[in-house]
Amino acid sequence: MSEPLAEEMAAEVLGGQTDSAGPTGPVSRGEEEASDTRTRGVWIDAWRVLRSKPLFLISIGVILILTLMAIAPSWFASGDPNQGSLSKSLQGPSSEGWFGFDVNGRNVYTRVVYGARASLTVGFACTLGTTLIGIVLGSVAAYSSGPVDSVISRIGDMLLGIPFALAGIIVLSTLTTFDTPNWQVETILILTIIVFGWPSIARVLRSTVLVTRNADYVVAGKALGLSGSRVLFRHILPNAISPILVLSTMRVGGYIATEASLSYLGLGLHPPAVSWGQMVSDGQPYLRTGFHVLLFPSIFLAITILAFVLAGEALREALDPTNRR
Amino acid sequence: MLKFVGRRLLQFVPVMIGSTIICWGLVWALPGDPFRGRCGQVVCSDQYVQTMTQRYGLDQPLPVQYLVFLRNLFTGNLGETFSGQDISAVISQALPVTARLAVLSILIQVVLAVSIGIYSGLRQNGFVDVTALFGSLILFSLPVFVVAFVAQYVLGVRLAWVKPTVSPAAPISELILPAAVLAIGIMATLMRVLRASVAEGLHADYLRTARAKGFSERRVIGVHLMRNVMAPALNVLGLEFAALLGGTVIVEGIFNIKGVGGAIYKAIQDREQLTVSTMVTLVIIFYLVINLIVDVACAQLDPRSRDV
Amino acid sequence: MLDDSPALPGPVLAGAATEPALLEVRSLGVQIRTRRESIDIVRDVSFEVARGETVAVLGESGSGKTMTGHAIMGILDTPPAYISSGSISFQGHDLLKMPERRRRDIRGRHISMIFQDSLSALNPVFSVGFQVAEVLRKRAGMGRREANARAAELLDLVEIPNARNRMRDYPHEFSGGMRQRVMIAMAIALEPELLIADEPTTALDVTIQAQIMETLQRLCSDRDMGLILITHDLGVVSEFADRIILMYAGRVVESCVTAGIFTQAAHPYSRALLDSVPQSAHRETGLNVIPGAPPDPREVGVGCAFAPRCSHAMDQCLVAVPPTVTVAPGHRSACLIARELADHV
Repeated sequence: MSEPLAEEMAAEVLGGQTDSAGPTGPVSRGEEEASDTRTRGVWIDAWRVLRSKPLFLISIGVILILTLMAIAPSWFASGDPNQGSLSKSLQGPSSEGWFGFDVNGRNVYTRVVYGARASLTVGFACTLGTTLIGIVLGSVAAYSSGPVDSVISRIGDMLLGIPFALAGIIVLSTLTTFDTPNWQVETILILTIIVFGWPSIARVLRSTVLVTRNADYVVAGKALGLSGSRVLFRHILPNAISPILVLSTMRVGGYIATEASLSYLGLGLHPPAVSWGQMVSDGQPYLRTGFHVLLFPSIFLAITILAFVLAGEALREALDPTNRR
Repeated sequence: MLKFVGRRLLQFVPVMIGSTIICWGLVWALPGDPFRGRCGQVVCSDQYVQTMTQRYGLDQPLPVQYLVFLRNLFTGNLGETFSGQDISAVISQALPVTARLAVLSILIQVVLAVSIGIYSGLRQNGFVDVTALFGSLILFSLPVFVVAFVAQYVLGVRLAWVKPTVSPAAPISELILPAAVLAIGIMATLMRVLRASVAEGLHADYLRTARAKGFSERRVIGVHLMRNVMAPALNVLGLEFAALLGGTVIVEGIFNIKGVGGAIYKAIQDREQLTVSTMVTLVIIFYLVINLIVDVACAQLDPRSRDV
Repeated sequence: MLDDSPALPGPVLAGAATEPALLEVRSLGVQIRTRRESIDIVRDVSFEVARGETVAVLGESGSGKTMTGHAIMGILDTPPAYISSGSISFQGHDLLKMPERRRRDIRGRHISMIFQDSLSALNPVFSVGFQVAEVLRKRAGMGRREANARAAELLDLVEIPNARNRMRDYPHEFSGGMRQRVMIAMAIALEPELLIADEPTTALDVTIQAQIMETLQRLCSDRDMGLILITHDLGVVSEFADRIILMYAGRVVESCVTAGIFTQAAHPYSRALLDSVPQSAHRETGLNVIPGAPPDPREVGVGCAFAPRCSHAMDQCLVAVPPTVTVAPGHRSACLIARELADHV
């Protein structure tokens, strides 16, 4: 999992957006309302396209079910994910345990359901954090230009120079030990990803703002005496939102994969918390005798990530004006 | 071109300094005891702490500490692992194995991604294209360790086509499976970028010009289109190097390969945080250097990027 | 030098007893075919070009003039564009019946083209010198050194200052006018008999426009080269063209010698076009614009495509396409009242 794919896709949207922004023609006094309906129109159009895409609807359905699983796992599975009877150790799937039992005789299905929480918490929290910080710092950089811009951009470059999986390894192995409480581990993990993840959002936003800022209709809006903040919120940000939305949606999957990989390496959550990466790692010695122990958490992980990537992909196609016709 | 290289080097220096400061800061400057866990479950002896403090200059002001860190990094004075092995010796032993794995993996992804990506770009919405496009999203969504386990189980254990783990000598034949696993996620991205740039290039005016000159279709596509597609592809390959390097830690761990990634994996399992952070810092520096080279190569391929 | 390749058979090039026109386009039709519909972009277009002659194909954007040029070159984007009818014969040989191999050999060697947007038409990742020399290396079998020397000469010939030193520069490092000169150098490298120039000066400043056109004209007369000048600019046409082919919605509506359109325009569209050119005489009366807009090629009916905008339109105009009539030697018009218009100056 990595960012360039998502960034490239967002860039496609970005390109399309600015193209559509270009020929928006001369500005009259009624321009403000016109631009409003134009922006709204994009979203309505996008929704119309999305509604008829089965893959998008399935992805959203999967994401909703997983979210529900994370919030209320007991609705989906009965029993305690950490309780097991050794007599069932490594038993394969059966009517009693759909996904079989792990080496400690714990129900793998129950554990997979309870594992959703760790993945989705990290996914959503990191997305929220990187997007918010990215938007704020990106627009500050684009708007202030000069030294503030270069400082933000250079810091972004440095952070982007460090792949966040590697950063996660350094930070977690330095700051946590076996006895660090799980909530601390999770917070540290989320903060690390946010710190190393915001620059790519900020970069996209900055370039969109810079392009839009010079678009004729924005220049005209300023010439007509609209205030700076009005121009920013009414005209510039709406244009920047869709590439950010696409990029962010796709990256939820990336954050989840990072969490799982770090947990797999033994750097993430540890028992009694349940996480898919950790389940795979625990099942590793039983590759030959109990492959189901590894298989089911892997499948859930892959489906979760795929759901976010597909949703992002559908969103990109729907928001790309060159694809609509 | 020389001017571009100079300017790019000038930009590289602050990024390099910044990145190493970040790595160093994470390990040494954050509150907490850098020797925690160094001596296993027991608390380190005062004498040990003293020698280490001196060695890393921890009694000096922070900027000096950073310089000591840099000096140690570049002189190969990287300290010792838990079991008393010299870290630089471990790395120099492991490096050839990882290099083989990485080169093999890049070869696999380039061959597959280039052939599938270009083919589906030329025949958009054909069977291969649609399959590849959807397949790439699935491959892209699979975390490396999942692919590694499935491959190891199915090909290594179930079908027994390959040995599930790699022997210490790590001959090329045994590295093919891990290299392919490593290639899969990255390949998906490369393939999509290639497809997109081929599809875009096909409608470019310069191709029409090349046809108007009466060149054969082979030259039109093979020279005029391909040269335009190479720079973005190379760029992606450079950026995806991060995923490759991160992936080696997991893949070498799973397949028990005695490379740099495997050494990092083992150090993580053993909670040797100093060894982990030192090695990862080196990996990051390597990544930055690779991307510098990629940038220069891209500028060589596409003159327009020199003016940026 | 170039004739060692398997080109056209000797007698034709040498000029047989009855010399055919350099290029003869007969009833050419081009269609865009999509899954749902096929749209006629070029309909029943016929014209000739002689050696050394400059023929202007004049029309608004969307009138099918560029498609006509691409069809002659054999570089239509197929799919979706197809030649649906007609013939294009070059020195007596039907290009449309040739195997692709021979067709390809004619491109660049006997018929060349220069394009409107020189920035996107030149390959951005190759140096200008490479792109000019490439034609000579691949098509004329020259060695690298010889090709480079000749490329420099060609760039010199199209008046690029300091040509030898600019060989290694890339297209984006040239100005628009200089880039267009590079395009010209590439197009004439193999000394073709016919050059198609698609809006060669549209993207350029007025002063540069004139310089480029003068260069083109000089090269054409030096080499006795036929030139098809695709343009929408009446000014350029009046100054540089020998004959005019006026297109509207995919059809030729009027064709005549250049002076003819100014002295006895025989189609309401040409008249309207002339009236819409700003002239000092219009200072008091204001500019005459043609009411309405050119039709969507999908919506052209059975009759005259110009009828909805025509001030002389009659009921018959909507029933069938008006036949083409000859109003004077070499002057033809597709209008029911062509003769009346021609006589009424």
